[in-house]
Amino acid sequence: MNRKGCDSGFFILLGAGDPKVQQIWQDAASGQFELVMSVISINEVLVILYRQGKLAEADGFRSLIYSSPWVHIVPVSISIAEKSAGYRHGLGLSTVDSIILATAVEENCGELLTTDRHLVAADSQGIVKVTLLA
Amino acid sequence: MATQEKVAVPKIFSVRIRKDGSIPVPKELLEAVQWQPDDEVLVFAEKGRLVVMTRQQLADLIAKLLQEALKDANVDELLKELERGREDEPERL
Repeated sequence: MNRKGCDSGFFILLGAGDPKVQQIWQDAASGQFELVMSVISINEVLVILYRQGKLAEADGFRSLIYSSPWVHIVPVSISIAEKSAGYRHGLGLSTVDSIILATAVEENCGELLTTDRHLVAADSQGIVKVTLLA
Repeated sequence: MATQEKVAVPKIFSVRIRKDGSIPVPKELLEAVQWQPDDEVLVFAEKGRLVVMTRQQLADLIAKLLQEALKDANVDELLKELERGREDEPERL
């Protein structure tokens, strides 16, 4: 199945009602493609919800996202850690950015959906197509 | 009493789990939620309960949950906060 890497900012924009992100979300839910998400993004989204004081919503999100068959959540494996080291060194990315990128590449994503403009470097280097959502 | 009778009360059925683990869902309930035979639904356990819903319903539920959680938030600030949180501490580089 066609896969798209999905960075943490995607979920912030989904919460903001961004029409483009909502459409991507609906397309994924209908089975057109799978969204690949690093466990790091689970951490980031939960922290954002905690900081908003939305503990119940964070608990709900955690529970429901794990039940979504169109979302594939990927732990940081040895191969992702190794690949991310190369991206961190070669592209000057932060640790988290490099793990998000390595996760998308390791999981054979045709595209990485992000709000983080640092990751555009991966596109210009021909590593993976990067779509900036905001 | 007549007024009470007009109030729609959700009907609860008592059904028995089959030996193969499947659960018979009364036709009346399927009609109430407009599900047809062969429709795909998601079944998962949450907090000790079984939840059944369509992919569309789950997608809408997650989007709505995030919208409720972030309705008063400054989205641009959150995105900046996200980027700032990813900056490695210089002494660890």
